[in-house]
Amino acid sequence: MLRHRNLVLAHLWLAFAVFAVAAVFGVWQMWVRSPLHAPYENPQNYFLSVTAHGVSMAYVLTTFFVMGFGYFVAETALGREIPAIRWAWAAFVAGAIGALMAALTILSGYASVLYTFYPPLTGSPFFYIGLVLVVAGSWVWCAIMITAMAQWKRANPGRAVPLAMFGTVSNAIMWLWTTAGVAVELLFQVIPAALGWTDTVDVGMSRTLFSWTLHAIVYFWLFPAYIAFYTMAPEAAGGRLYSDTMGRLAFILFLLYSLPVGLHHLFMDPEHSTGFKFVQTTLTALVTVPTLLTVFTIAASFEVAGRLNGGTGLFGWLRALPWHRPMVLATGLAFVMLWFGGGGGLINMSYGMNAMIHNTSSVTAHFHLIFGGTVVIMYFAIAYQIWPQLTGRTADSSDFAWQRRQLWLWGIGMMVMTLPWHWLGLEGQWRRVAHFDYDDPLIAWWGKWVDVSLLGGVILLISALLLIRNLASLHGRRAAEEAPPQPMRYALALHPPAHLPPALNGFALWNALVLVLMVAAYGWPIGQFIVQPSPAAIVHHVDRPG
Amino acid sequence: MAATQQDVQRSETRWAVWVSLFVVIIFGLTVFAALVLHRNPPSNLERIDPRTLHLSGEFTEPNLGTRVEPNGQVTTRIVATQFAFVPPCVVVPADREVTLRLASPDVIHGILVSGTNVNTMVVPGYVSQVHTVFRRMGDLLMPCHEFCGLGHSQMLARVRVVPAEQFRPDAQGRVSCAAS
Amino acid sequence: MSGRNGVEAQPADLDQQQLLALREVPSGAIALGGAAVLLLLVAWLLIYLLVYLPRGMVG
Repeated sequence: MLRHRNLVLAHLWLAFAVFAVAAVFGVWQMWVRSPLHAPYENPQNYFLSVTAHGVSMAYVLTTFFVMGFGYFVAETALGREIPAIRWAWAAFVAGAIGALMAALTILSGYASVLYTFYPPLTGSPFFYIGLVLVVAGSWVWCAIMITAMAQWKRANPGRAVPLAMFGTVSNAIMWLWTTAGVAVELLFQVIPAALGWTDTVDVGMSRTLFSWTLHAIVYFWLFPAYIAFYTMAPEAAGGRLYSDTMGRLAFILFLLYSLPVGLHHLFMDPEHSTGFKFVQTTLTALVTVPTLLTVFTIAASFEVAGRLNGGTGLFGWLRALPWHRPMVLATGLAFVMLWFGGGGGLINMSYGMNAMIHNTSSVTAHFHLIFGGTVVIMYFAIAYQIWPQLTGRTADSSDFAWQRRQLWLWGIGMMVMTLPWHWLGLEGQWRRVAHFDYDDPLIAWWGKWVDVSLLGGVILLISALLLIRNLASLHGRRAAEEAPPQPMRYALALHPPAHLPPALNGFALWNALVLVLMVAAYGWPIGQFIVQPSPAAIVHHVDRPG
Repeated sequence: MAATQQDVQRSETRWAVWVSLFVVIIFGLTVFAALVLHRNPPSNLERIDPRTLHLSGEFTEPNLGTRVEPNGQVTTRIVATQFAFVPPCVVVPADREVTLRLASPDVIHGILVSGTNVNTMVVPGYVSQVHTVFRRMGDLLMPCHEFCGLGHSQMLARVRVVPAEQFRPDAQGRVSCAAS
Repeated sequence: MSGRNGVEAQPADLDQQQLLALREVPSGAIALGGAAVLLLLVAWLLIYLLVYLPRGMVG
């Protein structure tokens, strides 16, 4: 059993508990938006809920899951002691306190600024300070991950860093780069404004700094899913990873190209020129590549598994795969959702086409499908895979059946919820609305499709509660006849790398390239506000009356 | 057939080439739409002081709404503020180039016009400008699509697209919803 | 990870019968992945031609 299982369990239970509560908020929000009357329906409650739901899902579920899974990988892939374990616990406590601070301020109505918190709208300083604590805790995690890998390399000179750890450290390095944007925005602009030290804010600067973080953060969320695709799914399928090198390349490409593309969230903004919007469109086109490469490599890995299992023909290998295994099922569902979610992403990134859908329900649909769907379903699969090693219990066929049900409900619910949103968004349904006037003939027909989305949301809530049940059922004393859980076995590559060039085993070159790319992509977009600050906008406090 | 490492690399490289072609096609069509078909994200860099825009200059109340300039250009000026558009209804002619100009004196707003490619953020400190040609006649929805506070859900304007013969400017060149 | 040079060798842990079964790889992946990406291109083109372009010029 894992030495530091309690550290991992603490992170993952916090993540999933917050997730389950946030799912309830989400369904209530959808009920409010629909033609049906929801209890406690008013704008104050609605925007409080949207803030709570967004902060929980985008900042708490994700950060704590990534950290917990990272500690698991560090111990199992490297086969050694996690360094600075007391710092790891301190980081968890700081992050948990920060999350609690943010939660309390949100629930008291003092921070209804949504998880994107665009100034000049400004909430209570404790909201932002809470989030800063969560980020600070995650920085400690980054340092521990980087240190663990460095120590392993010193003890194993010339050997290839296990792929799962290489991916985890790619993510840690990317996260350090990513959080710089929002950290500067919070520390130098938003928190001083929230504390009342300044009463105007440069909105061009704040939106640009936030965009730096806003895109790359979704890759921070995505990494565990891709680590599972490359190092866990092929093993669960009974095959081999088609190409270890491609896994490393995918992680490196994400590190390089997830950062200098944030301006594509600002296509419709008036504070940036065509030139830089276009430069970042080009870079965004490049960040599609690691996903497109992954699709092939994982399909090939699954093909290996299917053919080893007796499958023949161009597609027959698909049927020969062990779909009864939750990790395999989750991967299949994830890839189906990836087609739709990725397709939506292609539309969003296509420069002028962004105008069709910016700030419509299509955007909400896109990120719920690609993140809530493809990525989070893999969070569930990872949890099911590693839980026995954390609790000492072994999952049996009845457990697997329940896990499969939960995964199917998640996949179906996500599609039912998001497909109507995509369409309504194209028809002009806009975002973050507490009340639609369905008497207006221009939008009356939206009503029944919003109801369909709501049904999808209810299915997701059932799935979320089932997740909690499934994980809880793997706790407790092991029965005498139950075999102890198997230790973690990461996927074997078809051709395990014996020796790797430093570029595929470390990050010195890539960090240098990230710096170059960020200066090129964001140098002037941010520099312009230092050289010539935007006309100041007045801070608008939402945590004060009037 | 992928028995050796070389076979694996060859197949991955071949796939990468096809995938790159896919990306280039999409990228190319996007650039074509931008350069040749005049479909671009609105990127007019123009600053304005949000604290004084209602006091003097272009965005004072009498100057808002649709106006035909002396040179024949149709310009519609709208102020986005918590929680209404001023004016809440504008008239625009069909099949003629219209320039929308928006500004905010308070927080971030945004607009889209349903059924069209008109979409822009309205950021305090900047003037947003969108050129377009409206083809479909009728009433179009122009909601505020960026969260701007508790009254965001009620913030909605209408764009009335009328045929040329119904687009009759008054002596100052103005066209308003009340008159049409 | 073993210390042998794996560049030219066949996967050493698979027997002859298994290697025979893998002869078709990655034709299945190409078929599935290729179909998916092609369909994606078609979907994007349909939206480009039928929704985006008809909605008019903007800039």
